[in-house]
Amino acid sequence: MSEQRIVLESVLDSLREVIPGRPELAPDTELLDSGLLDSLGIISVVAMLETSHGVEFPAELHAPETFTDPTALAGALTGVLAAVRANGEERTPS
Amino acid sequence: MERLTDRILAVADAHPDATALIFRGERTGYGALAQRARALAAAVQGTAAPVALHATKTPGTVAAMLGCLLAGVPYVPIDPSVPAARRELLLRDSGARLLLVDDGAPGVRPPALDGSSAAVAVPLGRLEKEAPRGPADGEPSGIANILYTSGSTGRPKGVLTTHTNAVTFLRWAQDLIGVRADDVVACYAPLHFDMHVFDLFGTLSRGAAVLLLDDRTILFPEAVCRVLREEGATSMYAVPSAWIGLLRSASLAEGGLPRLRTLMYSGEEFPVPPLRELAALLPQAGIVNIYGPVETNAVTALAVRPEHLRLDRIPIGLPFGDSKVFLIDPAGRVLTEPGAEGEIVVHTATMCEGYLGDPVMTAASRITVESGGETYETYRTGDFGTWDADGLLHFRGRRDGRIKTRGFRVETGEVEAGLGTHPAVEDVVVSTRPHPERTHELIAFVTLRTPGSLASAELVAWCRKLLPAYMVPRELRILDGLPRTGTGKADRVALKQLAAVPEERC
Repeated sequence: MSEQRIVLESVLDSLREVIPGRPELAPDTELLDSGLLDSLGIISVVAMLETSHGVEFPAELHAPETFTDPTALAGALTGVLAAVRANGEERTPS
Repeated sequence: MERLTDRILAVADAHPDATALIFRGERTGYGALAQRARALAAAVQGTAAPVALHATKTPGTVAAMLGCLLAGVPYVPIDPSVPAARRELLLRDSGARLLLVDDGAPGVRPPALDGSSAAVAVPLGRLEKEAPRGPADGEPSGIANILYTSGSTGRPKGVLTTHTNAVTFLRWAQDLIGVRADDVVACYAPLHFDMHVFDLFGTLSRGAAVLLLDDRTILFPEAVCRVLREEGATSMYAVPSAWIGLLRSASLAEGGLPRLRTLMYSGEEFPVPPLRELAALLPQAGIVNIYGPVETNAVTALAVRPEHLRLDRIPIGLPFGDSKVFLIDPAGRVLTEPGAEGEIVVHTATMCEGYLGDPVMTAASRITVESGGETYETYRTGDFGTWDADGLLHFRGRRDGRIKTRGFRVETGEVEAGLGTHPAVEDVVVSTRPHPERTHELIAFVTLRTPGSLASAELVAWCRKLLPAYMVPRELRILDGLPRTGTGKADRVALKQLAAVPEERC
């Protein structure tokens, strides 16, 4: 699996964990306007991804564009991972 | 009769260049807003049926509301995020022929309708272009809007609010809040909530600016905090869960909201510890607690002072405006002694006209009480309370299936009815457990006609197709049988205890 695919799968897993009833999700499932994620759901997903990847989402990513669908979120997470690597600050995943 | 738009149009005529709306950094002046509202009023005037609005929080929706009010046609704001089946149900129930959609706003698409109602979706842009010229005053309806709320029998109820109800509410709110022309009032609540009446019309009647926080932004406390600070918001009215979300955003803790002078909340009880923290972070802001269901808009209010923050629970306060608030016992007798617990009933000029098409439920929601030799027609809130020795009212909960979750009012009976329509479901009880930020979470217990025929995820998906997101159970457990009381009814007490323990995720 490509890294892109792995990141997307981990995003989908976290979303299924947080959204009631573990719904079927596609990479382009609308997450915000559909009401699938509420504000606490967003916080929970971010916390899960931060823990599993050992990174931190910077404040500017806490915005609607990051969460419109799983693909957007995976893209944001990929960016965070790349930035961490570039800075050589990768922490051991806990 | 004063209409909701009278003062707003007077402001627009006197100060056309003053800012009426701020949305994503763009400003709409009073003159431009009034012009748009007049064009839309001309297009909808004479419509016998109410006009439904796909209530995206955008300037176009605000103009459409004002247009309807001006034309004397009741508007029905429909949550844009509801599933299609729910939208159709509200369109059929309200009898709306038009569903107005602010297609000019980015990302807003007209929802597809299945033809089961009389309504057609019409983009605002088209309506404005086609609007006939001429005076915008039709034969006005006394009804300003129809706001849908959860119904315990499984169908949502349309609450009919008159212009007089709303104008009276705003006059009393103004006495309490004192909105000034230099205020910037943030509109946090979705526009299908009753809070929009204060946020929009209360603000625009005073020549102040409404800061529209769009439907996506409100999911992100950091983003909300940023906008409030950048636009210099002076006041915001929101449910406690929204304020608690803001409290946890790092930027609020760092810089506060220096221009905020009024923090208003309603919709649910505010737990004291986070309210204390907010008061400490926003020392310049006055805190106002407003209590009341959509049927009366407000019943009581309290300007929260430091001594209230030392109590275990914040009182809901004093009767709002000129309303008369009573506590009654099960026989309908008025209780006056401090500490005696009774149902909260209210006699007020803000009491709604009733429920759309349901005179029986309207009559059942009212009771005539006697006090001091006078009789009063009152609205029964179904909430319980006590008076304290200082004459302040304290909230003591409910004794039925109505709960609040993130400020949304939910009848558990409506969720049960929705689940009960699934052909595989034999029996269902929806229970709740307290949650620190959502106030309550819904937990459904279901038995199946054929055990093992269905996974719980399929039933949650069923709910998602029928109900708004806040009514979808957080957890759904399939049981072999529901616990029963001695009389054979489902044992709701036992199920509530079961619901209190979260199910282990496998």
